[in-house]
Amino acid sequence: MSVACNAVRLAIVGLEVGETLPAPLDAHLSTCLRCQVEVVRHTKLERELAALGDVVETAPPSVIDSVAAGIVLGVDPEDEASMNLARVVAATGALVAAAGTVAVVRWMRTRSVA
Amino acid sequence: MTTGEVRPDEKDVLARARAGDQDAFTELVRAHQHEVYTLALRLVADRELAGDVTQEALIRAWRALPKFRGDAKFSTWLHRITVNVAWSLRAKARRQAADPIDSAPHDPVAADLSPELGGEGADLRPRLLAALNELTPELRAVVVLKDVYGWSHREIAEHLSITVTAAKVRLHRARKRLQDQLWQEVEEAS
Repeated sequence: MSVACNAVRLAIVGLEVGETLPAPLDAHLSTCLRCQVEVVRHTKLERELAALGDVVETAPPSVIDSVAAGIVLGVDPEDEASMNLARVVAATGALVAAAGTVAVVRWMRTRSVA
Repeated sequence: MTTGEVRPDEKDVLARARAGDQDAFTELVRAHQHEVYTLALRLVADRELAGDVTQEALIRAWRALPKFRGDAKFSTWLHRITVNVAWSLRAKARRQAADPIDSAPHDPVAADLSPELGGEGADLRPRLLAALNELTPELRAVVVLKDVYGWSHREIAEHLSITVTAAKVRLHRARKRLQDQLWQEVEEAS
């Protein structure tokens, strides 16, 4: 790889959106296929990174409950123990709710059998 | 970074939450939890830690809500809190263990993706996510905030407690490493 190719590679990585290479490097670029490939790759990377901003990951279902528990309990975010307590309370609430559902389902089954 | 008024439909809920209405705040949490979690995950590259970051960021938001003036979008304000929490929890995790985040290039997120390094025509996203997770947290944070979330170098420097020059240098290094990793196999194959 030539000195000019190296300079182009370094310059491309630092480019902001819409910025162009300095004239001497641009002149080299117009004649160097390898550097043209680098520009295409940089543009692809730039676009793909920007597009990642539109991708939303799903938060764990426990988030809402643990935040709600944290607020009700008035936990201090600086205090790890109280943050853990909020998680435990949320998890316990979820378990109790699940157990309640099971109990209701069983009760309904016995009613329908009777 | 986008600034401006809160969404009109969110104004009322936000006002109620600021006045101490917990149900209104839960409504806001429901609406924003996924974007907060996504940002946390991009920054810490660990699903469990990202969940903790999300919980803490939202609780901190609740406590700080009376101070929210509304001169930035609510989501932008939440993002700032999330970055601060992610950074401090990451530092805490680092102190507690032998830094599993830094030393775990095959973390759960990357492992889930099991990137196939194909030709240039192959889908870039899974490879990019894997490459991002391979970066050190310092480099990853800068490239995520700048190139994914559009923060300025000044904002990044402020939130990560580094200089603007350091932010620029880290961005340059991060992009270079991503480029190298993304197209390394293509180069080797050709």
